[in-house]
Amino acid sequence: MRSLLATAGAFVALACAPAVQAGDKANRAEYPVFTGAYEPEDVDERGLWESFDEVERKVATSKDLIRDEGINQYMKDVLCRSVGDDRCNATRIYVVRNNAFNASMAPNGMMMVNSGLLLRMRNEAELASVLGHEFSHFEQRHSLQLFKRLRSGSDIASIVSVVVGVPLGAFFLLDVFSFNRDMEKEADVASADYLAASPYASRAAADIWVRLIDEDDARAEERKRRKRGRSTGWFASHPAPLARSEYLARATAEHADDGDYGFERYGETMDPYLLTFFEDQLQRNDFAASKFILDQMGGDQWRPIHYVMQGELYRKRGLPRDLVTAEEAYRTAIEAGSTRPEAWRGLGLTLMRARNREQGAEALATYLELAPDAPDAPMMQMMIKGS
Amino acid sequence: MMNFLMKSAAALALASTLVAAPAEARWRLVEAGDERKVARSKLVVTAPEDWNRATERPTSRSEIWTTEGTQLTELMFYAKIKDGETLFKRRQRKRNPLPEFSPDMLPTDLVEWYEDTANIVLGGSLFEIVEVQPATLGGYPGVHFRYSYTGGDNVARLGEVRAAIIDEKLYLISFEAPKIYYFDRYITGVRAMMDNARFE
Repeated sequence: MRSLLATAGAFVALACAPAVQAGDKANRAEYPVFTGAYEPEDVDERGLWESFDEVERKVATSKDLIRDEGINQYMKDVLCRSVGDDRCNATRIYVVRNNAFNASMAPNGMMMVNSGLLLRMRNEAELASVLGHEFSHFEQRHSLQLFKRLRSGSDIASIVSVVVGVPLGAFFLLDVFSFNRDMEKEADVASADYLAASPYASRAAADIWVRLIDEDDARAEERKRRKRGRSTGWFASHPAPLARSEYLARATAEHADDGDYGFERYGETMDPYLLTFFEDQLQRNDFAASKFILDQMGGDQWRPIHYVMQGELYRKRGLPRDLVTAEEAYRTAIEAGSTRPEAWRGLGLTLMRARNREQGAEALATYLELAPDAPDAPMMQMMIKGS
Repeated sequence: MMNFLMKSAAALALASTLVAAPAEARWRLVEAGDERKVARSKLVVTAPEDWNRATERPTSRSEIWTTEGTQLTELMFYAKIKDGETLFKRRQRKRNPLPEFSPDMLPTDLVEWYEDTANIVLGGSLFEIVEVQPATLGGYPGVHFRYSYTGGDNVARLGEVRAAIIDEKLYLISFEAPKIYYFDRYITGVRAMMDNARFE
């Protein structure tokens, strides 16, 4: 059964090869040979697939799922461009509203991508590398290996990681089964190979981990705790981000290519969602890291939406000096042409809190014109009247 | 998946994070019509029907009541929360710090503050504000809001909160219960209790 499927898979891979557009970057590598065995093969794997099918049914009806066709089709397209058309069709991607930086892969081909991850990617090539990483857990059947090891009871660390759900590398990262460190490295290297064979720029992969370290440094400083991510504790199931960025940079240096980053495509697709995703991040009471994410997102090309986010960031912390910064940010966004109701809401509330009630009421009135059905409309009307 | 793992390791519902040691908590009957001062303050409420109050306090500034167990009906009173304090006990100060109360918060800021606290405790963006209305508490202007969420036990819950800042301190009454049956069964009495709360 196995060999038959594998042969069929190889045939599909060969048949599809001409469909992959070559020549869009100068020195594009070949995809690794695709064995294509995506059906569960033995009792273990069938059982594992079935239990995850059940989980997938729950995920598919979850209210945290983002169902818009546009973003879902986009994710699929990026995965296909990253790992090749023959591979990508074996998976289903679910985009979930969750502010943690994470993506996960189940053995039955269900991939979950958190909105918190999408908030932190700067371009399509970075997203492609993460999706490729998750995909290779699936292709290399890491959860099956882990499951077998768990059952034989010999690998204490993997039992612990499944039962306790250790936050990986202490970055709140938690893959499906908490794949172990070697598996994570294997997946990283495989995703570097995919990226080299894809139209994307290979070096995008290493950038993600450098930023993750910087983000956590910012958080650590604010919370007055030790900085992490530079070394791998024995308990950690992912390699330390610093180690990851280093070996990924080495791997991608081998494929020194001039591929595409897809800045614009990524920006256009994510723009309608970014404010919501950023609001979710702000709920974590995580000012320094949120500011870091915003600065990275805006780079040297701040658009009106970024100023609205800046306003929200400072208004929520709400120190007297923060209210000054917030007011300025909202006004900049509005002057630059933002028509988002959130800009007026934020400006109005900031002014009110700074006891500039008259102007605050005016801004809130504009907010209500733009969003008459907002859940907080009755409260806003009361605040306008009371001013 | 991460959600499922995280949730099972973390909070099933807000209630489970509040009750410090249920095994040690003792319950005392509050009979229908009884007037009681709550949460060591001068805020007086009238029980609309028979309720039970816990003798153990989740924090020194709060008090918990229930009729059928806190997972099914949870009525919380918070009083005199001061500048810089948090709604719940700070359990993970470094990893998941809770947002602090500030007396210059607007009514809408209170709603966001409650929402953020709940989301941090529940671990995600599960908590959703459904409606925000102006209201009074003990004769002082404040806010009344409704929310919904589904916790790690996969039970959909609804909740309502009445809150006001009085003399720079926060007073807050919250009620939550499963959407199926329990919420509707008790909410009318709870709203009346919020409306009639007074300061001695």
